[in-house]
Amino acid sequence: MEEHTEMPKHIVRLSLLLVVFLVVAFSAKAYFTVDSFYKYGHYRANSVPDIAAPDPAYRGPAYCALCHVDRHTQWSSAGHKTVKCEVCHGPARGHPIDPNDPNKTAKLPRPTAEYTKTLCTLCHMQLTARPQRDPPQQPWDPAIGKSVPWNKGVSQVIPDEHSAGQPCLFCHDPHQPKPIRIKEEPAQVAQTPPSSPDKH
Amino acid sequence: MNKMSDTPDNTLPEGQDAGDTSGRRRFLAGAGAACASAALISVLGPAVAKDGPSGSFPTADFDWEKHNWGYGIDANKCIGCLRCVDACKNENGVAKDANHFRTWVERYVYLEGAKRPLIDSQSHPDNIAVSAPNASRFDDRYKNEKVEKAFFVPKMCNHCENPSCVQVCPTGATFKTKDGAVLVDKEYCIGCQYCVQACPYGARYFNEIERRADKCTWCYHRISKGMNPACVEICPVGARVFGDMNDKNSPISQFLKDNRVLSLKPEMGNRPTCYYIGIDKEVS
Ligand code: HEC
Ligand code: HEC
Ligand code: HEC
Ligand code: HEC
Repeated sequence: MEEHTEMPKHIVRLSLLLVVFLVVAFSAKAYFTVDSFYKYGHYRANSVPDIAAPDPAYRGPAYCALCHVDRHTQWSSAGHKTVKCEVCHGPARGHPIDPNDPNKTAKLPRPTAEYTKTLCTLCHMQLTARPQRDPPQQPWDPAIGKSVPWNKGVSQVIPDEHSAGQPCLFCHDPHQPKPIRIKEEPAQVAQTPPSSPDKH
Repeated sequence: MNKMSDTPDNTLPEGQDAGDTSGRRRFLAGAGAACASAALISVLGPAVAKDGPSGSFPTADFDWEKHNWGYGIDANKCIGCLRCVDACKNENGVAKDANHFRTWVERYVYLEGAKRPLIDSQSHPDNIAVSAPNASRFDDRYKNEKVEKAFFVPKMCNHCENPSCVQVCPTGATFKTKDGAVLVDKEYCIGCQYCVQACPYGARYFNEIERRADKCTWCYHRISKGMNPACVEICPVGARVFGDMNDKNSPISQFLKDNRVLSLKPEMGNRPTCYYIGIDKEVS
């Protein structure tokens, strides 16, 4: 009876080997695939917390407001309130300097007068394809005390004609670009005289 | 196989009997035991590892199941100041040269009578020449030409619903998250650059220092902390809009409600989740 019902031995061995092979193959795959692979899909789920981990470099104006209250108040009520502090001052990561904290060693730059010729023209230089301010800019009206609200675009100047090579900082406070001021007596006074009282 | 079948009897239990074929049997027994334990580890492993106590993923206070990010670009508003491009590089440590960008801005210029636009971007030598570190800019090179129409178009990864880059990745190193971002696992990326080739939008670049493919993550480390991506944060004219499309009041939901939006290269079937307004038929 045995002889007839039992499978031939070589078949038994072969299927055993096949089973062993499959077990080896699948365990090896399971073993070498990290835990989190396939947890959510065909990728290593644990890479996502890693990617989400770094500290943001840019913090936003609300962060600056914690300490530079005056600057923030001035800025947020003037024509540059859409231009975030970190556009001009660089990312806040590591600021302010704290001798007790090795991660806090970044000195935020205070743009020099000379550098404002580069900085301000990034946005305000007349340039092909750059949309003009809409509605057009009006001269500062001391009676209203503020600028005309704008929808889109940006007011543009031809730097050589507008300021004759003088740093923008001489006549514009970057945190409140209008009304204009005279910060230092510039060597040559530009053709457009200040239209409102000197602001310091 | 033939050789194997010449073993004498074989009645199961592994390694029990030590005949002349004991070497092979012992091996098989050992292998069996190893497999069993490996299988055990692999079954227990995932259960033991991962997931914070709150059960939210990927971080303790951010659950990606609850979000569905979208990105809007209003080319009418873009003033081409390139503050987004420099901010992106600062935020994400992208090489500060003219060949590596997670986001960039193109200028489309139609000269009078021309059928096709002239297109330039930060990689153009003239624009490189007038740029300084952290002060990338466009050269005013058309000032003496007759320009009929011109505008800027910010470009970046479109975080497609059907991303070609994910399809071609041979190692599972790039993937789409539950909240919609397409990310790169830098440990699993082998740097083969198939994805760089596959992207119809040219949004990926090769990071030579880390030897891997790299791309925009929508600043995943920022959005998972409730902040905007750096480019959106820094844009002075609101040309870039970001938010959660699950939230009806988010800026992106408003943007999609108020505008008729386009996506780039719809014929590719990638279904981008970056939506444009104010672009022209030549923009792709
Ligand atoms: C926790 C308080 C704190 C916050 C928040 C903070 N600052 Fe400061 N800031 C300081 C201190 C203190 C100094 C002087 C020491 C130094 O340079 O680190 C300083 C210096 C500066 C300077 C240099 C001033 C000079 O005369 O050289 C600038 C520019 C500046 N901060 C801008 C910013 C901006 C922009 C932000 C927001 C992104 C910001 N700060 C946020 C405390 C702060
Ligand atoms: C348009 C560019 C621009 C923006 C936007 C801007 N700043 Fe400044 N900031 C400057 C420049 C230029 C100076 C140097 C002014 C000077 O030397 O008179 C400066 C100087 C400063 C200083 C140091 C000197 C001082 O007057 O106290 C602080 C602090 C500062 N900024 C903080 C801020 C904060 C906070 C914001 C955002 C609320 C901000 N800035 C936004 C350009 C900018
Ligand atoms: C990141 C781009 C950017 C930079 C850099 C920048 N501005 Fe502006 N500026 C704007 C935008 C946007 C407006 C609002 C639209 C407008 O009035 O043109 C504006 C407005 C102005 C105005 C009109 C303000 C008003 O109240 O109507 C002046 C003047 C001005 N900027 C001068 C400057 C000066 C000077 C600098 C350099 C210190 C500077 N800007 C740097 C983007 C910028
Ligand atoms: C000599 C002083 C002076 C200097 C230097 C100067 N400006 Fe002006 N700027 C003015 C005056 C005056 C106005 C008109 C203000 C008004 O309308 O109230 C003005 C207006 C502007 C406006 C608004 C334009 C408009 O359509 O009304 C912008 C933008 C501007 N300046 C940018 C700059 C930039 C950028 C620089 C540096 C390259 C600069 N300015 C340097 C005096 C100056």
